[in-house]
Amino acid sequence: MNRHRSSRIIGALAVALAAIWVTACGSAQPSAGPLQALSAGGQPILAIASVVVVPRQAADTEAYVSSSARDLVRVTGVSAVAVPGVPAGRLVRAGVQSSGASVATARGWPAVPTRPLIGAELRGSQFGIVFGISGPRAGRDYAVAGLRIRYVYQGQSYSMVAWGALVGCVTATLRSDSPSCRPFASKVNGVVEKMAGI
Amino acid sequence: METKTAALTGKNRGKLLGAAVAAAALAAGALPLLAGPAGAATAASPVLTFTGSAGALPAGSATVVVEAELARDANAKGVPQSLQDIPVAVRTISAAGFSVPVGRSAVLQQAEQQGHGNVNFAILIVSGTRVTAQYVPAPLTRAAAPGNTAALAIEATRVIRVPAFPAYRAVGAAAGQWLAALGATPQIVPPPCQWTTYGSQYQDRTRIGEVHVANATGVTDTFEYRNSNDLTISVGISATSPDGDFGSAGTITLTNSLSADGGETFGPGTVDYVNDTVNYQRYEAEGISCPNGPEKYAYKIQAVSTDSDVYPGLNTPPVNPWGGCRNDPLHATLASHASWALDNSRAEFYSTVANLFGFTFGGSDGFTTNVEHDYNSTSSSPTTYICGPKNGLPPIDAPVLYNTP
Repeated sequence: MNRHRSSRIIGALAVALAAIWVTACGSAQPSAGPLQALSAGGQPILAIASVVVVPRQAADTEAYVSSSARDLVRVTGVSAVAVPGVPAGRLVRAGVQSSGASVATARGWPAVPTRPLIGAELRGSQFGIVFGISGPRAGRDYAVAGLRIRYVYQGQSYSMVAWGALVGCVTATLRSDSPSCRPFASKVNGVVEKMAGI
Repeated sequence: METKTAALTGKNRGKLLGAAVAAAALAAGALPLLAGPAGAATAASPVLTFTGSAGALPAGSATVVVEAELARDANAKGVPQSLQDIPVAVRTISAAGFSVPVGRSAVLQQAEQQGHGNVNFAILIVSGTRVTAQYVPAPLTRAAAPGNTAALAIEATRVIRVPAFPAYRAVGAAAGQWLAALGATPQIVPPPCQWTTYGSQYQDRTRIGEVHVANATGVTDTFEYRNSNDLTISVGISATSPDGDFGSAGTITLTNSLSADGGETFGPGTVDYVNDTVNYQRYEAEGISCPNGPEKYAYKIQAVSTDSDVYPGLNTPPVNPWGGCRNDPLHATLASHASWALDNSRAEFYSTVANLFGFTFGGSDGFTTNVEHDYNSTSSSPTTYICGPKNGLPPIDAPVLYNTP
């Protein structure tokens, strides 16, 4: 009886360990790479930008990444991080800030000089990633929580999230009011703070 | 550096209660020597370690006592009617440098809960019949780390580099006997230093930040200050009088646990400090583990709670060092009809945030999760620019934000 129970426990443990192994090693994107979200006091630094735009116009902001890499980091991919329960804007552009000038909020593209993010080879301790989202319909607001950046460092693939909440409030014209924009942005801010763990 | 570490266990305390030195000391005075912290633990796996210099030791050796502060009996304003500084680590040293590990304990856990992750420590150094003391706050959890550079280092290393101590003060001869006993028998854990209120609490406007808004149509900055913000602010201690003569004795971190949020919107062209109402209280204490020893009262004045009522300050902060933000190569654009809220960044330290009983408090607002700059522009606003001080930091990472057309 005891032996049977032990066998079952050992079997269950083996399944669990196998699952952990698959999760950890089956993925090509371990999380503890040299790129991290910019932080202060152990918490990610977080800003939320909201911009009133017309349909399909990009609302832009910037997310920040810190790096502990000693060698080059090569970016292989980027995608927007959706905010649960909120319409996700379409990621229209993402670039590595290249002049020092940065973007709190902007519309259209390019807001400041950038170079393409995908394929970029990063060397340094801190980077600004300028990005823009758009939405197709006036009267609807869109948001993302930041960017998921995939990269290769010393032959190993990684991914990380650069937090940078961005809200695009789409109106028919830029002179139009967007009364929903502020409460929408406030809601998004609260959700993204929790997502970022602060 | 030669050191002897106190093993803060009931077993040792029991043994050492019978020690001749302690007995002689007990016979010489009326105070109970031992009331060790119930939750004290060994420093086998320290939660954090205090390092620093005790300066030239007046008696050639010294005892370093690390105490965690617990607040008791808060009134309706959140002002504790007593504060207990409870020893959590004791170590003797024979040279200026010290390194005192602090282990996990029930006392520390309680202090951590009270401070939402921040614990205020008092560090007392006794050398012969001379004493010095100061307060040092420590973030014990990641979430509690205030956004200043000192806290960043603590969070990363779990080592707290203690600033220079105030000059040693002489205590009376009888107190000297007690302190000598403590120094000679460092395994003895002294009782807590019990501070009780002296007089009423005082409210004072206290600087918590500054705002700079472009002189441009429709541009505003809302400074928000929310529940559980952290304010690190200096403590004054006096060995002579509760009405003045307070000298700076380190800092404490005040975690605002009131369920109140504050906020103020500043319009175009504003260059202003931001204040909050902070409640201050004077306390008095005497005892072997208090800054003035057991014979004579010591007094301290410290911030104990805040009202979280944000309002414009009295004076004007220094102007934008760049002139216009576009002169800062790291400036950020703020488009019209948009908003940008930064709610977790670094803190600015101000050397003067408040003044009471002749004591000037210095301080640093947490500027963490719960302090937020929210720049807004309208559809008729021009594009403006945000920048930081001349410290090479982009606005996202800057302790002060400027905004110009």
